[in-house]
Amino acid sequence: MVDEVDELIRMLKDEALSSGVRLGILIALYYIDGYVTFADLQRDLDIPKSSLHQHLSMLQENGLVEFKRGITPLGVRTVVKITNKGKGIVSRYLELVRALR
Amino acid sequence: MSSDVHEILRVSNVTVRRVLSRELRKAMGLYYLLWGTYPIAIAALYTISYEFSVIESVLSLRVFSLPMMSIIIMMAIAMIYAFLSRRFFSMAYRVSRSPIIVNRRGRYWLRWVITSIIMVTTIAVYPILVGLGNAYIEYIPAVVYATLVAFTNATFFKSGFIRARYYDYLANASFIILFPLSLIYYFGYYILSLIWIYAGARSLLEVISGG
Repeated sequence: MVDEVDELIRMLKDEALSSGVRLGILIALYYIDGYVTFADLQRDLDIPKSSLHQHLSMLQENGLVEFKRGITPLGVRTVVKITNKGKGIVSRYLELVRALR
Repeated sequence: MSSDVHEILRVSNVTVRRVLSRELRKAMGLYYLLWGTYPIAIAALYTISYEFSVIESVLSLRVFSLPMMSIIIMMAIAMIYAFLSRRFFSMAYRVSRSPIIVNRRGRYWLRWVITSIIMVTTIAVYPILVGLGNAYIEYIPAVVYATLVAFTNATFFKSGFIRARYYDYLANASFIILFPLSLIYYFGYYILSLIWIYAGARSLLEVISGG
């Protein structure tokens, strides 16, 4: 139990996951397991574009998400997707949460 | 745990809920819209097959009877539709099993396994029963199948990420009532189609308006 708490705290002290918004975005992308448009994420979270861009850039720099221009039914949009590294981290995070419940 | 960690966990839970509630509702809207076009796709395929004499050509081979051919076409299209809606189901299933949900009730995996087995069995038995030519024997598996589809759809709301609206109840109740009845009164498929398209449109409007 103590080990799990320590690991969870260490995980959340990582620069990329030290923000609840970034952690939440990463977990949501894990469950969606596909591309989400930048515009949809911004509308969902109701935060300024610049803030969302900063959060996503931080996640991208750490190799947790990838974003690119993609063709969607509404035209060409910036789309975001979780990477395998990101999936591994969220998977471990959820294991820890499950163990602590 | 320090208050910082608690704050990160609290904000992340709020963020996850905000994103997933919209994405799940959007997926559900697309699911309604997709299956709302199913009777139209069947009708279009029949019309094309009839006008280009495809049905006559296949019947002349004397391998399939007309009812059996109809079932094969309907199931082939249903499989394509099921493939297209797999994303919705897989996302909803993953979310329903998430440890971040606090109001989980029941054993979801068991419910899913039982529902899947009954649905697959019903679908597998259906063409055999149709071959016997008894309308009531067709009707019973249709009722079971419709109930299971509505039951499966209802479980997605139990994660608490999306709230069931009146158009969800309308879509699912109409499916249980109209799907089996459509075997006798074919226009029921088109009413069902309209209701599901309406539910899909309302769901997407809910996402756009942020409701």
